Amino acid sequence: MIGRHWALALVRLYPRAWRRRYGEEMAAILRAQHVMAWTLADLALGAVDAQLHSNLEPEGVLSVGQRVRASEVAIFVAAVVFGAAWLAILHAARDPLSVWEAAAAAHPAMASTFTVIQIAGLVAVLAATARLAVLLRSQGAAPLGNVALMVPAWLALTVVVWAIAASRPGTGIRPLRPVDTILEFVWLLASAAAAVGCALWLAQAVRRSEAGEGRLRLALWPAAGATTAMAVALVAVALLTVQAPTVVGSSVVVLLAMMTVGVVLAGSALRRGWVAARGSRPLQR
Amino acid sequence: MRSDDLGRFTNPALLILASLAEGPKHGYAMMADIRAFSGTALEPGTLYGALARLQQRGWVEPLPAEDRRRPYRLTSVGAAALREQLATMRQIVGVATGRVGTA
Repeated sequence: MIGRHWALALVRLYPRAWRRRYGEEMAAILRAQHVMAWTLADLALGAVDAQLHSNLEPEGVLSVGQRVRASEVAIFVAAVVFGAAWLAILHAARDPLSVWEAAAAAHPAMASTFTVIQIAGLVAVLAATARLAVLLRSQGAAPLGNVALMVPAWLALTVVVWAIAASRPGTGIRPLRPVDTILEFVWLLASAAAAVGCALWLAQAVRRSEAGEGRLRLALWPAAGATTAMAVALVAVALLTVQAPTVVGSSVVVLLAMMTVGVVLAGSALRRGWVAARGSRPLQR
Repeated sequence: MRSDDLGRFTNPALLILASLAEGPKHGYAMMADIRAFSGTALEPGTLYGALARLQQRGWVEPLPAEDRRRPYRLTSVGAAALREQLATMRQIVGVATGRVGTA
């Protein structure tokens, strides 16, 4: 009885489209047959296999639009992961201007690398903005209004924290007080909550958007731009890490790993999006 | 039916095709039939993993569901793939039998 309970729970690990097609049949079999340990292992392996081979999902259950939209959502989430690592690197980088200028004068490649990073970041932000604008256009202004309300509050808190950061010991303004530390901690938590909240909300908005297939296909182009920019920025940060390890700090290895995860996720999602948009199914006979 | 097409599902797929060659069956009936004629106990995860691949290739197709159980039937393309696979197996059996006999 307990084995059957676990077996039915394992069926829920299969992709939704798969369950919609085969779920009831599998459940009927599991209720009729004796469930053994191997049955559970077989179901777990099958769930992993089904998750890895989304092309096996029955044709017609997921439309081209749904596939491209899922790809867009994945790229957006990857961009958030990448952006979080990016901001953390900027926060952790030790960049006293005089030292930086001297280093840049001595090693022009460093200055060029930093310029590349900035351009790649700008391109990624512009591409992400264009993509969301394309996708949300059919939904009207209401969802964007929510973001418009959140952004000024977050910016105001940021200005306060920057002012505090500028008054730290060594800057000659005033020493850091305990309340400053608490405020900065709150800011970090608020930033993380804002990033995660915005990402989830926008992902939901994209998932529910009524944009047609043509517009979704169009949105893949800025997504490709954002993915390319993330890849370029990743290479540039890696180069900067090699050239000037003292500027970027020791935590950069973890952050580079995060950025790599973001680029791999985005690249994989972009490939799936293109395949869906072209309407080709590689394993289809 | 090349073995690299279906990976670990090659043998279960062959058993399913052989079972459906007799006539349409739903999942549980296929499992019982396969166990009876081959002694192989297919589990649901493997059965539906192979069925999905066979459906994707157009070798089997679903029929309207009957009381939450959906029967499947062999298509003409699936029957041709089964015949091709059986011919290959017969050739292997013939060669191996001859070699064992002369060894």
